[in-house]
Parts: sequence; C-alpha cells; structure tokens
Amino acid sequence: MTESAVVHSNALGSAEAARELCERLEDALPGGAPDALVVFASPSYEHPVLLRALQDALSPRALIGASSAGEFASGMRGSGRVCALALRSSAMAFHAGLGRGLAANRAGAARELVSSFRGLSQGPYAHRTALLFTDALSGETDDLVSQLTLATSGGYQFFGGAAGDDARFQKTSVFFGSEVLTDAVVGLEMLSHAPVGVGVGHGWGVASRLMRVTAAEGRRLISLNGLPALQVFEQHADETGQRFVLTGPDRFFLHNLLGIETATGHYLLRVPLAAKPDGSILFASEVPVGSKVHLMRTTVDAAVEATTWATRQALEALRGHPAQVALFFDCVASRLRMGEAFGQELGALAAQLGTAEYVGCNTHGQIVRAPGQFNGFHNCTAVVCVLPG
Amino acid sequence: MPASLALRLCCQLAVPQTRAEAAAELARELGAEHCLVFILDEEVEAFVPAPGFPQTLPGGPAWSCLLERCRASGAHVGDVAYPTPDRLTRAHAWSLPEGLLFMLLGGEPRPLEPDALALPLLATALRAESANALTQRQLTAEREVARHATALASALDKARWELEAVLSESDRLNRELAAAAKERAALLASEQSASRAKDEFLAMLGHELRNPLAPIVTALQLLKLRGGPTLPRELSVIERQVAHLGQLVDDLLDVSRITRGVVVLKRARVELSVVAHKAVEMAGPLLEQHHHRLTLEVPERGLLLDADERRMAQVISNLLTNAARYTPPGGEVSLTAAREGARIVVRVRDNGMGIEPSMLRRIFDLFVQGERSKDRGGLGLGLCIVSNLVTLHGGFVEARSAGLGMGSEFVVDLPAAQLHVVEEPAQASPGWGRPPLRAKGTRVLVVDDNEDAAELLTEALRLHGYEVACCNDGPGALEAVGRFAPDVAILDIGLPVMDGVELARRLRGREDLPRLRLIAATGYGQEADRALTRDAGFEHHLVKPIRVASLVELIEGAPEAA
Repeated sequence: MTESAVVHSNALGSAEAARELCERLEDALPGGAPDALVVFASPSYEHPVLLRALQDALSPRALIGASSAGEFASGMRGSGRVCALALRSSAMAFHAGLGRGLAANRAGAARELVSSFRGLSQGPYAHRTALLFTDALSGETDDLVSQLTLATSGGYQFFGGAAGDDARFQKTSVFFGSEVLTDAVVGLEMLSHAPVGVGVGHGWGVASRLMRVTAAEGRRLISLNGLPALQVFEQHADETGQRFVLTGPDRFFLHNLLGIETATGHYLLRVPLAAKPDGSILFASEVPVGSKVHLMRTTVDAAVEATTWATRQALEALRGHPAQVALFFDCVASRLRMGEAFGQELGALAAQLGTAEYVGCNTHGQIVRAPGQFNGFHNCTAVVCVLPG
Repeated sequence: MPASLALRLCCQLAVPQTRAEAAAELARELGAEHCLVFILDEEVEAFVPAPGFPQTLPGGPAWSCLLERCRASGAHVGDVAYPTPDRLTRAHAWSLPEGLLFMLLGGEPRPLEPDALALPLLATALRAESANALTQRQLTAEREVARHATALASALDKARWELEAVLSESDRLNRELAAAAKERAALLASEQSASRAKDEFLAMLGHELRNPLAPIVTALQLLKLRGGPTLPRELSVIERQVAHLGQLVDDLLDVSRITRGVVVLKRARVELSVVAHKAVEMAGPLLEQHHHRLTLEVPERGLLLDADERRMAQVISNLLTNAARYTPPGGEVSLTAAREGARIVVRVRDNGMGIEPSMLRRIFDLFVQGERSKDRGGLGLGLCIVSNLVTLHGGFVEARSAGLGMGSEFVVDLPAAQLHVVEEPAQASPGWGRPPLRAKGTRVLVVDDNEDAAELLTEALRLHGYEVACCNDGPGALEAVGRFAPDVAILDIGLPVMDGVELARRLRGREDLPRLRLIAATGYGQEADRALTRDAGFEHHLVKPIRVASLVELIEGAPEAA
C-alpha cells in the first residue's frame, strides 16, 4: 500500500514556507518520516534554508527536487510558490541518487546517479522507474537520458524535467537532501510491484513549409534556407496574421515553436527563447545544422487534449491498479502562452485522475523515456506519471 | 571573357579550396562586385546557399522574394541587402534547370551565357558536394546512432544475462515447487488413504460393536420378560448404559456413513412440527433426567420442509441432547422455529455453560470438543452429524454464544419446501401383505452364527409363545427347514459358508415353502444393504440390536419400520 500527501505554501519567507509545508505534511501523512519527499520551489526562495528546514523537521529517507518555473498541486496553481509530495509505501521502495559534472561528462554523471539505484541488483520488484531533475543550463539532456538508459541497460523508465528559473535561464538548481546543486542531475528511484504509469503528449502541429537549418551553433539558430532565423519567424508572423515585435518577440515565440523532423515522423519541439541582434534566435535546446524543421503551432484545446491523452496513457499503463497520486510536468512556455487557460490543462489532468491528487511544476524541458517514447527530452510537452496505490 | 578563363574559373569554383577566390575573380571579370551560388535543396524545395558560400544572407524580405522568383529558370533581377543589411545591391541571377542559381551582385555585370561558363557542370559539382556534405552529416549522425546502438546492444546483453540469471533461478524455484507440490500431493493421497482407512475402520468398529450388543440387548429383554414388572436396580443401570452404548455406536456409524458420503436422504414433504415433536420425544428422557424446563414454540402448520423426517428429527434431537448435556440441572432449554422468507429457521437455546469464542467455528468438526466437554464424556460426534445432515438438506447451522457461562444458541437454517411441489402421498409402512400371524403355533427359525445371539433370541421368542428352532449356518438352516417347516425365518446376513442373502435366495427357490416369511437381521442398514435383502426375497430388514418387542410386532402383523 502506498500513501501520499500533496501540500503547498504561498508563504514568502523560506523558513515560514518550510514550517507551513511541514505542518501540512504531518497532518496529511501522520505516522513518522516519509519514505520520500519531492520538492518544487520557485527561485524566489532561499533554497538552502528551505531544504535544511524540511530535512530537519521531516527526516525523509530520500529528498530530491528542483527549482521551478511555476508550481501546481491539486487545487492550487501559480508561481513564486513551493509544493511538495510526500510518499510512504509498503509496496514501493524509494532511493535518491545524484550525478555531478553534467556538462563535462554526462556518461560519468549518469553512472554516478545510477550507482545509488538498488533495483539493478536482483530484487523483489518487477517495475523500475526513476524521477529525474537536471540543471537545465547544463544542456544535452537528450544525451543524458541516453546515457542513463545505457547505464541501466534499458531497465528503467525515466520521467521528470529540467529545473526552471521562471524562464530567466540564468540559474537553475536541483535538490538532493539539503544540498542545492548546479550542473548536476538528481533522481528518485521508484521500485514497485505494480506498474508505474507514464504518459506524454503535446498538441503541436505543423504550421509552415519545411526548411533546412543552414547555420546554427548549439542552441543558437542562425539561418534557415540561408535566411536569418529571425527574418523567417517574422515572415511567418506576416503570413499567418500574427503580431511580431522585433524588440520583444517573446509572446510570438511562446506560440511558435520549431519542430525538428525525426526519422520516426515525430517532431522534437524546440522553444525559442530570445532574439539576437544578429538575426539569430536562442533556443532552449540544441538545433542541429542540416536538420529539417517546421514552425509549429498549437491551441488551448489541442494542449488540453494532449494532457488528457497523456494522463489516459499513464492510467492505462497501471494495468488496472488504482491511481494513488500523479506527478505532472509541462513547459514554462505552456504556462506563459496559455495564461489562465493553463488551468484547463490541469483541469483535464484532474478529471482523468478522479480522486487521486497531483503535484508538479513548469520546467525548462521535459524528460520522458518510457515504453513507446524513445526521445528522452522534450519542450512544450505534458508528461504525466501516475503512481499505483 | 575568354573561354579558357571562364572554364578555369568555373573549375576553380567547383573546388572548395579555391572557390572563394574564384568567385571574387569571376565577379570582377564579369563586371560585378560579388558572386554567389545557390543550389536547389529538393527536400525543402528551395534554393539554399551552395557549400563554401555564406550560409546566412544579410536578410530582408527582398531576398525571400528574389529566391522564390528564381525557382523559375532564366534570368532574374532584384535589389537585395548585400553584403550588409544596410546596403542595397542590385542582384542579377541566372536560374538553371539543373538546380543552380548563379548570382552577380553590384557593379555593371556583362550579359552572361551560362553554357560559356559551364554552369550546368558547376551545378552538378556543387549539388554533388552539397549532397556529399549532407551525407557526411548524416553519416556522422548515423555513426553516433551506431555508437549508441552498440552501447545499447551491450547494455541489452547485460540485461539479457541478468534476465537469464533470473529465469534460471525462477526455473530452479519452479522445479523445487513442482517437487514440493508432488510431495504434497503424495502426502495428501496418503492422508486421504489414511482417512479412508479410518472411515472404514469406524464403520467396521460400529458393526463389530453392534454384534455383541445384539445378544446383550436380547438377554436384557429376556431378563425383563422373566423378571416381571419389577427389575433389580442393577438391571436398570445395565439397560440404560446399553442404550447409551447403542446410541454411541449408532452415532459412530452415522459419522462413518456421512464422511464416506454414503448417506442417502429419503426426502418427503413434512411439517417441521412433526419433526420437532419426534425430536423432543427422542431427547425427552435426558431433558427430564437433568430436570430442564423445555419451552417449545413451533407452529403446528405452515413450516413445510422437503426433508428426511428421521434424519431431521435426529438433527434437532442432537441439538436438544447437546443443550441438555451442557446445561446445569434445572436449566432452561427452548426450541423455536419460524419462517424467514424462503427459509425456515430453527433455534435451540439454553442458559447453560456456553461456548468459548475460539470454539464457535470448530465446534461442528469431527471429534472436536471444547473444554466444557471434558467432564461430559461423548465422542464429539453429535454436532458433526448435525452439521453434515443440515448441509445435505441444503441448509446450514451456526453456533452462537456470548462466551463461557453465557448459554448457547444453535441456529439451523433450512430451505422451506417449494409451494408448487405436489405433496407426495406418505408411503405406507412396510408390512407382510399377508394375514398376520399369531404366536401360538407359529414356527420361527432363527439363523445366526453368533451362538449367544441365536440362543437368546430363540429363548425370548419362545417366552412369547412361538415355536422356535435355531441353527448357526446356512447349510444347517436349509436342512432344518425341511423338517421344521417354519412360518418365519430370521436370518443373520453375515453367516459363514453361505451368507444370509444366498440362504434367502435358496429358500425362496424351494417350492415346499411358499408361505415362508423372511426377516433379515444385520448390522448393515444402508439403502444399498436393504435393496440387496429386498432383491433376495426378504420381506423385512432389521438392524441389530433388535428389540424383541419390535420383532414380535412385526411377526404378528403390526410391523415397525426397520
């Protein structure tokens, strides 16, 4: 049997927020220390103060988390807040792991993280899942997920996200116990007798002709078909009747992503973050030279439908076991783009879950490596994980 | 421009290392400031800068328009930003069907003959180079994919080895489980065999106890006949204890039959009140002996059962006996019955010593007795018989008690008779179908290999006025009938040499004995045993020990059912 509690705090001070979280957790999940605690905290908090207080008061056997770019839980959504999920289970086992030096050696970081996992040795649990948070600014999260897949011999499904900082892209942190780390990945290993359901969906569709990336450097897209990237976006705005402000294209960027064509016919979504004076555009993730891309668009209805679809996938993956609690991650861009309508996505999630609670945050990229999901890292994608009761 | 120079520059344009220099020289030779070359990317259906030329143009909408117009073959002119976004420059472009766009920017370019510059050839070279570059990128990506695939394959190998280890272990455990299951099955078979042997032993024990009981009972009856109305106290004790012993033997045989599944119910439509009165009659002596007060609340009519009357009476009698035994003298015992929907619920309550909670579920198990039974004797058979008989009737029985000293309640829940079932006429008691015999002058042959039993029965019948002959085996009986010509023959079934069934068949085969009446006297009382004696020609089947009074009533035409 797995018990869970989802709590949040709107308190501005870190110590006060920690105290509020502890009180609510002790009420909602009495009976001693939780087996695992997952924390999502806005960058506005002093994370070391917050984590130390939680660690001291609750003594969870495993604590991980990340800075976030919007926080939500059953009955609550917003930004500048902190929320937490506490778990206690006789049917699941939880272990926290940490991998450092992500930018320099992803394979090494993956091996270090996995060294804390217990499910790799012969154990009584049939299902192995890991919740991951990475420093979004360390880059190459796709490769990190590949390395983790290799390090675990494909034996785990992964889900989670890249830590956020309210879309400022200046400093994103992950939490391990009371430690606050950058350039690192943290993971919560979840071993279970019943399956853990993971679902993924995005509501984005093709909105432009196919184009070739003729020049790019890492996350900076320089030109498409030889024309400056910014000009291509501006021209697309003209052609589709959208407003494009050269000095502040953020709003346009939220509604117009780049979709990289893959061999499987799916599109890897890349979020444009900032326009550069030289006409290039900075993206949240790498855009390779020579790749073929479309500009993509979505609607509120499509995003809501995608979340519904992702949640259904996750629930079906439970194979008849009851849902206890869900973790939900979506892009900060989704929240900013949809505004109030982001609540409709959360409403769709809650409607599918029924009585089960949910908790999650907006991230700077979403991680999912589950059955049928072979690309490890996404943008503007809804990722749902449902734990069995 | 001389043809040789054009050809040389074109060749240099085709080579990446000399391309930039050749493009600048070509522009100068043709009167322009800059020279750009684009190739058609068929996958995205657009002109993109050829390899070695700037991959990002200065921008501006004019570039898009010009490049779009150039999708049509031929010469095109337009003003675009070049080489910087803020400088507008005239562009002269030649679009070739071979998928190459040659562009001169600035200056005053001279008219151009694409063939003279071998541009079709250049198109082929540059497109090949572009394709090669794409292929190289794809190759690099493929190599990366292959590296990942190899690493993943290695990881999968590792996973497979782990899986193999798990499967091997699982296989070993399965084999152990199979062996354990086989062992368990053997143990179960052995237990079942032992249980069967126990059941058979109980059955045999019952019969073997009955045989010596029969002459004892007969002897007692004989003593009573001889002794007149007053009997010595010791004789009463013997009579009571023999009756008790007989009841124990009957219970033992009942349990044996039930556990072997050989009990066949003789169901008929019966009012519960009839059953209840019979049960009270059976348990009455014990209730009276303990000075209990019995309250009976059973409606005379309206509680119809499809039941074996005798067996159901045994159920209620056992419960009343139980209540009598476990209630201190002068206690309260009640028997109530009522219809509850489609069920008839019978309750036997007492204010006796009660039942421990831990015993409530086990109390109906065979040979189980609670602490309370230690000083009450018995074999722990009665409630087991009750439970089994009630189950055979499609009902269930449950024991309730608030604990030791708090009294007990036994609830029997039975299906009420279906109202649409036509009530079968009650079967007439079996009789001779012939005129009754009177003692005087009636000749009775007693055949039993138990000499004591045979002699005592003979004497008892003689005291009733019959003319009796006795013998101890079949051949002796066949010989005796010739000279004795009996009216009635009482045959034991378990005779040596020739059993009672065979003896009866032979007697029935004799033409000189048309009026001979046959009574089987045996320890076996099942329906199959009765069918066997019926088929052999017996008119009656009595189960030992035999009450002489019953036997006399039977001979004289008022037969009592066996």
